Amino acid sequence: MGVVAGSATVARTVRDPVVQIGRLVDGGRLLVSTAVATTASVDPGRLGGGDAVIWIAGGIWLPMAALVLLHGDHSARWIRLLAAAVDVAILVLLQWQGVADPALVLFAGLPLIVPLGYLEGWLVAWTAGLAVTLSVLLVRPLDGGSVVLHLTATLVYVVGGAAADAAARGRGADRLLARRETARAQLILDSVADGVVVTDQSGVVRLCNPAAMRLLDRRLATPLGLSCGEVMGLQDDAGTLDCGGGCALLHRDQNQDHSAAVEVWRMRSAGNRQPLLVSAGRVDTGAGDGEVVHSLRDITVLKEAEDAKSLFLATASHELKTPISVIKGFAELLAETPYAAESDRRALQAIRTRADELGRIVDRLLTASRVEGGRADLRPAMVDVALLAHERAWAFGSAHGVSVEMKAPDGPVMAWADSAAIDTVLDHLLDNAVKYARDEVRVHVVVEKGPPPRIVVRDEGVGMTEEQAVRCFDKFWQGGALDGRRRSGTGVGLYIVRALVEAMDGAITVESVLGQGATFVISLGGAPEEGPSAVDPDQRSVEPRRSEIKEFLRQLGVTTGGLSR
Amino acid sequence: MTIRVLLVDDDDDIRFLMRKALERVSPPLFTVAESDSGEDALSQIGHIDPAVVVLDEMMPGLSGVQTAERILQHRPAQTIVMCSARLDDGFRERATLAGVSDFVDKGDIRLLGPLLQAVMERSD
Repeated sequence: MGVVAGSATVARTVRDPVVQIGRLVDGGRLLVSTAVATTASVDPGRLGGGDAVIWIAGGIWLPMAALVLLHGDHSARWIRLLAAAVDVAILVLLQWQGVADPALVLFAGLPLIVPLGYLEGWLVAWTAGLAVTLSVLLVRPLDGGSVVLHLTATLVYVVGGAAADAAARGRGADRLLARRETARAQLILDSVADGVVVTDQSGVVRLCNPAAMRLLDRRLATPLGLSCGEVMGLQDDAGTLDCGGGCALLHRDQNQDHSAAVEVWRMRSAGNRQPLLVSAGRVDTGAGDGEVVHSLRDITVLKEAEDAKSLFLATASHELKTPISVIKGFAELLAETPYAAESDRRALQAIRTRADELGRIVDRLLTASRVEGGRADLRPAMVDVALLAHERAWAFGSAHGVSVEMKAPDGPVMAWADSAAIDTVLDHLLDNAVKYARDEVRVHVVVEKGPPPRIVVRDEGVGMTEEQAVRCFDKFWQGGALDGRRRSGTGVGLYIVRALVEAMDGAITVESVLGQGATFVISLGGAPEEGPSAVDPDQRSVEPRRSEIKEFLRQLGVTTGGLSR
Repeated sequence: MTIRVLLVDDDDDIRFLMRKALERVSPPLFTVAESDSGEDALSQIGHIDPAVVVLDEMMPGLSGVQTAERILQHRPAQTIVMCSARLDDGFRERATLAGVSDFVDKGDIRLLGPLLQAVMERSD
């Protein structure tokens, strides 16, 4: 193994410089440079009349030279071989005429042999070399002095021819490799599902893969040479992306070399919007000209699914509320009639409680769909959160038959909040306290004046692990409480809580000790610092979050046959 | 001298529950008339002459807001209370613009009595 490796190394050591040289030459350059070299090394003194003819006429290499220089390396093979044969014939003829000095002839053969080696391989070169040598031998048979000459010439022919051949092969191999690499890259680009558009520094499109062509409705017209804006025409809520001062997508992100994927859209030729997910990255080819690669993905289907889901949620929630109200209403009505049987009372109580629960779940789902659709309209104002907390604690306590311990300073605690949102938030937290209680429900609500004003909801339930505490605000996260009991719920409670709190410019944190309970702390703010003109106090909407459709449907127990693309 | 109330809701059960809620108020304060659609309400309202109209937001045919608009065209001083879902989609804006003065959540039908009392006291 070592021997093979060793010889491979030697071969490479010899081959590599030759390959390097091979990269610099081609047949034409080789011929010209050898010719010049041989001519330069000929001693002018030696040139007699006949010899001068050879050089001046240039018949030795003229046919080959003309061919190679005119057609480069791509002239037809048979023509090249013919030209070589003509050259050899001229050399031989000139000798028979007794015109040339054999040494000179052998010498003059070099500019022929070497390029032949490059163009046609060592075999053809050596054959030509053999022909030239033989022709000299025929005219001037071997004697002492000429042996050295012949040996030198043969050696030079052999080495020159072989080296030229090696150079050619190296170059050819390189070219082949380069072609294969290019073909591979092209294949990858052609088969990738996302659109890829490459623009140069001035925003002119240089490359557009088939997926991009399909995506951009460009079935016929080529986008190459057109500007980024003409080809893609990306827009966002702020207007058309202006790439005048460099790629707008890269400018968005502080990191100027890669942008995160952003949602933009463009107008289709049909006149409707096409939502796209686009990212951009700078490609530095090292030549100083920064190209930008854009990756485009059509998210029309995704958006439609999102919209369908939101619409479904909103409609379903509305539709559900009426029957729920009716159930509750009649249960309450019946409860007011004196009923003798204890079981009837109990039945009615159950109906009312469960109807309430249904109503809350529906509300939660509706809120979740609004929160992520960016349509949760909050109207924050300076409100007395202590009063709200008192009311909510009392209402919750009497509805569930639990005692909620309240602690608040005397007098109002003003904070910047939306009362309905605070109600919802406290409802969720109190609900959780009951849900995750141990044996009896113990929950405390504390309102602090601060600043900043805070509402603390503390329970003495089963608590959470550190990991659960970190993830409890995630959408659809439901703590598998470690006491093994199953709990009902959709899991969107704390997600909504956090979203609502943050929409009021507040913050919520949780601390928990496993087995001992959890403490949620909501910090709110005073009035926002901006003047009334800067912020519209009547409308705050929660930033839309990416929806996880599959997860949502899974929660509802729907299999995602149709939407799993 | 009772307060005449016109309940407008396409759902029979909801109307029943609302009526019961109002009749529960003691001493009796309300006289209740019912309508099962916006169109019917418009045709009856002149005859009934209610002090307050309770309108459901979502009805087939004329919606709550549309009904409110039309009522106020002929009876600009009419007090209107709208039955709504919480966290509605901008209905509240439109309803208020149309002239609706108060809102009640469908889950709080039980509280309709006290609520209407408060509304009437305010407009006196």
